[in-house]
Amino acid sequence: MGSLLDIIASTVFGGILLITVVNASDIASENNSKFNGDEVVQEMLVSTARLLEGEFRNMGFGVRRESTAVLYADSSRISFLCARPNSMTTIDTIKYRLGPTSELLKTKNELDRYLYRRVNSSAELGVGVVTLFKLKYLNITGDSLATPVTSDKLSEIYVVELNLEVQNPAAISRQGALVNPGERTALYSSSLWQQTRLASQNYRR
Amino acid sequence: MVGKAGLIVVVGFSIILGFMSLNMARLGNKAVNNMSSYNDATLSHNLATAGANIGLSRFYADTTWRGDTTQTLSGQNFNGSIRYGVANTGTPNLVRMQAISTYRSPMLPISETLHDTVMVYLNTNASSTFSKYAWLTNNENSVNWTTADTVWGLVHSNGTLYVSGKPVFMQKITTSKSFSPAPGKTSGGKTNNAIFKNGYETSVPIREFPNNLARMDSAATAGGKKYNGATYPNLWVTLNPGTAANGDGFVVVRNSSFTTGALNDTIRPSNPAFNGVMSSTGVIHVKGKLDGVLSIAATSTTSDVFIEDTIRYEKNPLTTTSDDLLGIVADRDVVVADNVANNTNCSIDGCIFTRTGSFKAQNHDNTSPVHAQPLYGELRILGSIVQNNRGAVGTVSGGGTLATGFSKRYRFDDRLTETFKPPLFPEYLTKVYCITNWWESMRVPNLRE
Repeated sequence: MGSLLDIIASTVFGGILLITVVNASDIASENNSKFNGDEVVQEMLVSTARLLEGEFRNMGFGVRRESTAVLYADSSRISFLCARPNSMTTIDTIKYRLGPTSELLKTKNELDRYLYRRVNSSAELGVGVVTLFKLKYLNITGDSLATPVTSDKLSEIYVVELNLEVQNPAAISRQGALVNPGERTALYSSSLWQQTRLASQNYRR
Repeated sequence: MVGKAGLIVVVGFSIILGFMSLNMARLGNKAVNNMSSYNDATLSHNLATAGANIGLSRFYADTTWRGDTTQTLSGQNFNGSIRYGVANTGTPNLVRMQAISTYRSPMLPISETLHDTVMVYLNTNASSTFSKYAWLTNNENSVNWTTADTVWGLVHSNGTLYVSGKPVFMQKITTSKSFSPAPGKTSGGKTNNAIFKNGYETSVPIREFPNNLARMDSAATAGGKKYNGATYPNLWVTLNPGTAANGDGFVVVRNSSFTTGALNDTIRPSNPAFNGVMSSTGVIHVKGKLDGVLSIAATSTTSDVFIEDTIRYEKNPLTTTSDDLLGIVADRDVVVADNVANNTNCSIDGCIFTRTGSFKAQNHDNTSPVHAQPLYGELRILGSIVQNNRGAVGTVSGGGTLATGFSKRYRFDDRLTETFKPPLFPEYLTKVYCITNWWESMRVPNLRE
């Protein structure tokens, strides 16, 4: 009788332990995915943000004072002039534009899209995958300029405000009961970067 | 036995769960470290920017300062240094301020130190064209601006500006000295009631005239047309507009008169190989109608330009779109010749510059007329006038009516700006130390290589 009780007790205890381990493993795995996703998102955001803020800061470098450094300015597209630091006489035309979402249909995230960069007439290069790339232009008095900025107003651009959001291309599952009307059925870890006064010093000469 | 097995189970589970916990913590830390490293990079960058601003502040306090300085910042959570300095670039009138940060975050391994660089380029002198002024003199020769005068465009004198009555200045007027009498004051029987529509400023820096016209001579030699005064002491230049079409005008140059002479050059301003400058070390006589952009310069210390007849643009910028532009430059004088053609009125479209002399009318006071009909009429200028000494073009009677020479009808050409100017038109330099370019290092691969 005693042996039987030992066997039953050890089975129950072992079962509880097994369930605990399996459950812990599931949770660990899910958290692992979340953390990995966060890390991927933040790495994507930081690398894109560094490129953008570095290049936008030097907008107009080497361009003559009486010339306009911004050639085209729209809410998701910009083209500007910038010289190379080691050769101020060589001035490049740098263009950024947001690609369509249709280019990344293979990812689960329906909002992500390429951010393209082009220098002069070289081939366009995808420099990041983002879900938001929004540009806003302010004049010297802080008033917003309507986009696309007309050619006669390009020289008035004094501050460029940039909003950038990156989301994980892969979704985290979401229980149907938690989805409110109008919300997406999947969760995507995301990170937002905003520079509200990303004005090149070359514009303040 | 059961006790030992239980111990093994507990220790085993502790190891497994501990490992899982560590793994999750590591992932969490990596995500945070990513943003932390971005923050460190931003701090390093801001440190360099601060260094540039500190360096600029020091430079503006002492613009002769060259060299560099290192400044250390140490605190509980912030350790770093900035080295900033100013050096000549080798390019005339251009200096470079450079600030380099050294920053080590408490989060980073000791071996990892961040550096950022900010480079600021400053122009010590800025060149500006004289042609942007409607009127500029070194010396006003005590001639008054009077009630009859209305001036459009910028006005400046390196000397004193004399005012008697109520002239109107539509744009800003400046003087390196002062007004006589001061605005609103009366002195020596004269009252300064001038109307300054865009304000005035006194004691502004002198607009230094160039020491010579060598820059124009060099340009004429390099890509323009240069004539030697020893070979051709007089050049007769006729501006011919060609057909009514734009860009087909030409300039005929002769050495005896407008119609004769062994020399018979034809210059086409629209020729891409022509840089727009013709010069002579002799005397230049000019008339005609210009189609194109041209500067005519008499560059020796004894050479003048004589306006022998009306000079107009083919397309009148007052009534239509025009790209015609003329510079008339003399080391000594630009003179409206006393001749039959100029006897009644004379019109000149162009920017006039006299380095050491004046813009004046020959025999304007009729004291020694060279022919039977002395000058008498209107002198109409569309452009700008820059002269060393204010010259006279006529005299008025006590009642204010024209007695001899010309009455003035000067109008500024609104198209003239810092960039729209006759080719190689003389410029002046001012000490400005203005920032021309600002570059900040980037923490990304150089995608343009």
